[in-house]
Order: sequence, then C-alpha cells, then structure tokens
Amino acid sequence: MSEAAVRGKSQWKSVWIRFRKSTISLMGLSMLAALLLISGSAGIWIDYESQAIQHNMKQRLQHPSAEHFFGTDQFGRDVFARVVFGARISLLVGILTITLSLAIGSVIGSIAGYYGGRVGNLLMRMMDVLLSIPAILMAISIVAALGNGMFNLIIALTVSGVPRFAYIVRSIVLTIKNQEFVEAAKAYGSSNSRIILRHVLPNAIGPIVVQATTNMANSILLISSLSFVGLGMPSSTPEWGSMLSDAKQYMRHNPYLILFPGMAIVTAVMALNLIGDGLRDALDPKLRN
Amino acid sequence: MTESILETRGLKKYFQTHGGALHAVDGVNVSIGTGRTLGVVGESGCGKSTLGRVIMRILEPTGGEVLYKGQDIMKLGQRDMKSYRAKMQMIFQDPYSSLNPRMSVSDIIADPIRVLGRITDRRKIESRVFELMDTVGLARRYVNSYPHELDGGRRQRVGIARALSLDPEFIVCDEPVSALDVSIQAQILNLMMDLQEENHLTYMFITHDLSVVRHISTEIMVMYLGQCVERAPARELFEKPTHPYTELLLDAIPIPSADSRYKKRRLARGEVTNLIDPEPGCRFAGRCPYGDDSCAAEDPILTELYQGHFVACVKRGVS
Amino acid sequence: MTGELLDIRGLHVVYRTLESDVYAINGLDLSVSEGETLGLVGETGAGKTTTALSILKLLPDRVGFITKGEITLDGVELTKVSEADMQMIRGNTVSMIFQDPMSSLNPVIPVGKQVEEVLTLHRRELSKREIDEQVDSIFGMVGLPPSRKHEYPHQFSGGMKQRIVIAIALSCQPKLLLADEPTTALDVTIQAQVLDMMRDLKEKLRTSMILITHDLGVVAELCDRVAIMYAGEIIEMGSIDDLYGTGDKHPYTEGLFGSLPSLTGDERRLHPIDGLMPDPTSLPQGCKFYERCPKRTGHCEAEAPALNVSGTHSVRCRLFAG
Repeated sequence: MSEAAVRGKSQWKSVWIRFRKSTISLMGLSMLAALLLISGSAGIWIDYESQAIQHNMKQRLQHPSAEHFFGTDQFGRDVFARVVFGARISLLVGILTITLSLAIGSVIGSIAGYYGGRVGNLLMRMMDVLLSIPAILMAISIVAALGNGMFNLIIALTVSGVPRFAYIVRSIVLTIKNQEFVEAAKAYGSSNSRIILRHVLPNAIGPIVVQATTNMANSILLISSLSFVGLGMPSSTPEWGSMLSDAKQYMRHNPYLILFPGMAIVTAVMALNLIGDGLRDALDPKLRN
Repeated sequence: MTESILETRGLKKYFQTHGGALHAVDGVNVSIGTGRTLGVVGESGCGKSTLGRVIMRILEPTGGEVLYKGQDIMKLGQRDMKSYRAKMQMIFQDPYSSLNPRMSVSDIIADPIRVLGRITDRRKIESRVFELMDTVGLARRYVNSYPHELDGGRRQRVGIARALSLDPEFIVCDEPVSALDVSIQAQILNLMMDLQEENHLTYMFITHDLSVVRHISTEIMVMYLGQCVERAPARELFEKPTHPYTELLLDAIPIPSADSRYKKRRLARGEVTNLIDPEPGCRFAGRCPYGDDSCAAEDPILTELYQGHFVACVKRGVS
Repeated sequence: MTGELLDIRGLHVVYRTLESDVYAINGLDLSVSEGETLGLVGETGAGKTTTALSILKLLPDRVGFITKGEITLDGVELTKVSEADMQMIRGNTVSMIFQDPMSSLNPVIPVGKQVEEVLTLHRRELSKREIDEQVDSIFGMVGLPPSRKHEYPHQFSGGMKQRIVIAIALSCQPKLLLADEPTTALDVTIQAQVLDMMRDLKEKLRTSMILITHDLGVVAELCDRVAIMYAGEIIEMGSIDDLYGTGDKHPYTEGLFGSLPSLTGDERRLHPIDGLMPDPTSLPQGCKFYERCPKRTGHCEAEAPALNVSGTHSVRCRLFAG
C-alpha cells in the first residue's frame, strides 16, 4: 500500500475512462463539440443580418461554390450561414427545453418517489395523462393555442419532456431511498429536503444525464418537425425544419437545399444518441471494473 | 444493577401488505443498562433489524413506547427529537450501501456535524474529522477518498466514525460485521469493544451470528417471529439455554473443531412461517420438538425463571 | 496418471480489465481423489471462486484467462477441450452449486421441469417415464416432497431453493461437485438442515466435492481435507486433524483461527491478522503474506517460499522448511 495520500478518484473519472474506450461514442462527442464550436463562433466570421436574413434576389438559387459553400436559397440567402445559425436555434432551444423539463421533472419525480402516498400518486397520474398524448400532437396543440415563437416552442417541448424525467427520477429515488446511507442520514436528523438534495439526487445524476442526451436528440427532431409544418419558429428565422419546408418546391433542381439542413439534423441527432449510448454503457454498474 | 439508558414497552411495528398486517415487531420489551451491550439474535425475518430502526425512529412504530433515560421519544416533535438524535446513533450492516457513493470520506464523517450544526467553523470540522479517523484507525490519507475506493473493513470504519461524530451515548449496531471477512471482522469487533470502554458507550448489537453475539454482549435477547422468546446474561444463555428455539439455534452452529464431523444434532422441523396476521399461541409451536395443543392455546408470557433469565414458553416457563 | 479425479498443476489465472491486470490465481496445485470432500477456505478475493470457474471453464468471456497450468479432470485435460465438449463435461462429470439459490433458478419454470431439463440434455438414453422416476428420486434424496415439483421457485423458502439447486447439480450424478458457499445465504437452523443432508448424500453417492467457504465451522463438519487459499495460492493443506488440531500451522491459518470468537472461552480480545491481502494487480515478489506476518524474517520478502510437505500436511512457509 503506498504511503502517499490516496487521491479521491470520483466516479465520474472512471465513467470517463470507460466512455473513452468506445470510439463510436467519442465520435458522437466530437461531432457535438464541432457543432457547438462552429455555431458558437459563427457570429465572429459570418454576418448574420447580411448573409442569413437579408434577401438578395440577384444571387438566388445558386449551386454550391467557393463563395457559397452550400449554395443559396430562393431569396439569395447563404445556405451555409443559415445552417450554421440554425444549429444555434436547435441547440439553444434543445438545451433550454431539457434544463426546464429536467428541473420540473426532478422536483415532481422526487416528491412522488420520496414521499409517495396520495400526493405522489396524484402527481404520477397527471404525468400518465401527459405521457399518453404523443409528444408531437401535444406540442402542435400548445403552439397552435399560444402562437408561434421560440418561447412558446420551449413551453410546448418542456411540457412533453417533463413526464419522462419525472418517471425516471421517481424510479431512481424509489431505489435509493431505501438504501442504508439514507437511513443513516435520517438517524442523525437530516431534513427530507437535505436528504433528497444531498443523498438522493446526486446518485441519480447518471441515468438522468443519459435520459437528457436522448431527450435532447428528440427535442431537436421535434423542433424541426414543428417548424417544417410551420408551427415552430417564424419562417424568416434560420431553422433547419423551416429551411427544409421552404426547399420543398425547389428540390428537383436544387437538391442541396434539402441535403444540407437535412444532414445537419441527422448529425446533431446522431451525435446526441451516440453520446447517450456511450454514457449508458459507461454508467452500467455491471460493466464496472 | 446499573440504571437503564433505553427501554421499550410493548413496542410494535406492523407493515401493511396485500395479505394483511405483517407483525414484524410484536410487543417487545427491552431494557439496556448504561455501558452494557444487549445482543439481539434471531434468524432473518425475526424482526431484529426492524426493532433497531423503530428505536432509532427511522421507522415509526405502530404502538408502544421507547424511553430514553425515562423520556418517551416517540412523543417528541422534530425539533425536540434533534437533541436525542445526537445521543443515539446507528451503525449499519452493509458497508457498501451504508455510505453515499458520491460523497468523500470527510464529507460522510462530517455530515452529521453539519446537520446538527454543532460546529460550523470549517477548520474545526476538518480537525474533528481527522480526530475521528484516528479514533477508528483509518489512515488520514483516505480523507478525500470515495467509498468505492475502500475495502469493506475501511468502509465500516468510516461508518463507525460517522456514528461517533456526535459523541453518542447509545449506538444501535445492525449486523456491523456480517458482511466482513473473519480477520477484518475481528479487527472491527476489537475496535468496537475498545470504543465502548473509552467512551462509555451502550450498544444494542443486532446479529444472526451467535459466536459474535456471545463475544460482545453482556446480555442476549433471542427473537423469533417478532417476539422475544428468551433473554439472559450472555454466558448463562449459552450454558443454560431454556427455550426450545434457543436450544436448536445454539445446536445448529457449525463449530470449527476436529470433532465436529462426528456431531449429531437435533434439527428444527420445517422453516420459519410468515408473520401476516399470526394466530394466537406460541409462534414456534409448529417447529418445536415439544410443541403440543397447550402451546397453541395461548400466547406464552415472558417470565423470569432465574435471576435475570426470562423465557416465553408454556413448557419451560413454569418451574 | 495419478489416482486423482481432479488434478490441477501450476494454474495461473489473470483478469484483464480496462484499468489493470488482476492476478487472481498464481500457481495453484490442487487435487481431489474419488469420494473425497475438500474444503477450500479463504477470504474475499483469495481466488476460491475463480478456481471453481476455471475448472468449469466459465471464466468471464474476454476478461478472465488461464495463462498457465493444467487441469486434469477424470483423465481429460480441460484447458485443451473445446467449448462444445466442455458443455457435455459440465453437468455430466462436474457441476456447480452457487451461493445465491435465487439467481440460479429460473423463476418462470416449475422446479421439477428444471431438474428434468438437465436430465433430458445429458442423459438422452432415458425414456420419458424413466426421467420422471429419476426426478422423483432426486427430490426424495434432497428431502423435498416430489409432490411439490410442479411449483415455481418463488413458492419455496431459501433453504428449499438451495435443496432444489443441489438436486439439479446432482441430477446427472456428476463425479465432482463444486459447491460455492452453498449455505452462506441461509439461516443457521436451515444451514444445519442442509449441511446434514449434504453429509448424508456424501456418504450415499460417494461424489467428490470441493466445498468453497469462508466458514471454518462448516468445513470441520463436512470435509475430509482442507486447503487454505491466500492471494491466489494454496498456503496450507492437510487433513482436518492437521489443521484443527494443536500442531503448528501457517501464520495466516493461525490468524484465521485467532479471529474467530470462541463459543466457550472467556477472552475479551480477538487476535486478528493486521492489514489486508496484497493488491492482486501488483503482488509482492516473495511471500505474499510477508506484509502481515508476525513471524517474518528477512528472507521472506525476497524469496517466495516453497511448499513443505510432511505426510498429509503441506505448508507454504519457510518456518516449515527442512
């Protein structure tokens, strides 16, 4: 046994060691990193107003070239710029949605799982009702009722995301709350909220993160689908779904108009799913050691 | 005779199940003298762990009283309970699930101090953690380790340090050495006995291991299906087991000696029955070699047979 | 050819994990003769279960490897046998009882059917009626009423389930039975019933058995010979009288006995061994017990001790040399 202080290797470090072993998950992670980097820095090297928004009828429907990597659309806007700024919208809406539904879902799931009883039952039956409506239908009806726009889109997606998180958090809380370290915390008088925040939720993070990545992939698909049917973002906003929708009429002669936004959606969704799979394997206690 | 630090009166804990009420603890009276160790033995499902958890108020009882130095703690509100929490602590069986895997050793040991707000100064907490680690024989270099980096024995030392952090007077030990290898088990038992002497602790030691319970206890209570069937000073229980169940239990221990091969033993008939809405009468009657109709007729009452030796058996109780 | 049923020579097993190589078995020599029961005793991580899994060739796929050594069972060298042949050997010549009866039974198949399945798989020559009779007689043998064979595992208690597991293991009359902590999960009174039954079966069937356990009491009741394992080696082996008698023993064995609370004595303090088993990812060069040994000398650290044999008793310690 070495005499040096034993370094605290947190479980996240070993999760990362296992995650790193999977080439395919690392690929997903680098794809996502690239997307974040390009879209994050886009403001520096692309002028949003002039290239992605302003109509420029002289240059409409140009095929891909050195000047316009992905060509231009029916209003002469640069498709590359629009795809890049589209990533911002998708990722931003996705992240906000996940954060919100995670927060609300965790609270509902924790209460239902930890306290159980009548309140817990009532909460979970409400979640059942929400879950029984397909996410897309729910989102369509909410946006239809509240109107277009990013804010309403986020509300719509959050409402359909909450029950999934509530379920997963509840089931984890149910298994953790009977463990002896929770009983120990009760024995020295920890309050219920302290037990949930300090002992239960930190142990639930793993599965929640997996669920979050997969859910985010779904959210990105939903955003694009809604925009495709004209219920997402206003059509001037560069958004992958609405770009696809606009390109429908031109796809015979200008297939790149469909190809590039489509590829962007596939890349983002695939990256997130690959990361989710990798995390699931890395967190699986059966594969430990 | 020392004054008792903890007493229960008619303590009951029933769990509601689909089939009916499960009588996990059914009218148990214990009393533990200050500085002593009461061993509680029994097989799985006899209610010994539930008894410990009800006394600690981790579970709320269905009925009965728990008196700590004469005060019925079951009647206390959350705030008043806090001052008793510090005096009563618990050590758990499973050194794997009893420590939060996301907390470092120092956080685990310091958590009770933080919760009960005894010390708030960071440096003082830190030095208290080191002091506790020294007390339980855990090298200081593990202070930032996580539970999964430690072996079973060290984890159990962390659990003991956590229980000691509030300077308790009374500790419920729920199978604290059952999950450990024999050589580690012996280290922990020695540690617990040293701590008891140095800090004048009172233990309630719950276990299924009869040789361990004899070693550590001053008095032993044998439980069967939620009830106490026999209670006696440790040595006496092993020399003069009186309840038929105790006899069988002691006879069943495999003894590490060269003569064990030739040993013939009496075996209990059948297996432990369930506890859902039990019939009146002795619960061991069905398996008992001496059981007959008179046993099923009424609940046997725990009676003092000799000085300090109590038995609940119709056949043996009346001398 | 020796007269032994099982003969293991110089076995080395390594687990290759993501982070490091774990040296689980390091030069193990072990033999079991026909009708003999050998107790394999050691603490967690000593390599007891790995030894059993090596005999069955059931080491975890792509993680556990036999790197050196031979395992000869009933005249067959197992390390060279193909997986297909191995499947016939498992169950027919050797079978295993695991610690947890819950997880070794299929919850959705009646217990009688589970015994039947093993028989139909390994004893093709039997007719349906013969198999039925066989199942009934096996049930009777392990003390279960044959009338309960149509019930499912969850309808049985822990002790009953372990009897069923034993029935399955014995159904093809294997020559060697590997029992991994068969009674550890059971309560004492139930353990006593199962041990009693195993003792009877041992006399009736003359099956050889390796009983893996950490409980020296269980070994004393059931075994003819004992082997003590430490860090992947056998450090002491002998008859029950050699190890449980008053003669000299390996310092580790002394420590194991010293750790047990007595049921008759009055001593307040136990005498455990300080420290822990060495880290199996980086084992010491010399004696593996050096770090913890109260009787160590300078030579012990540098040089691994040889096995010193005297009669039935062999000890891997310099104190016993010459």
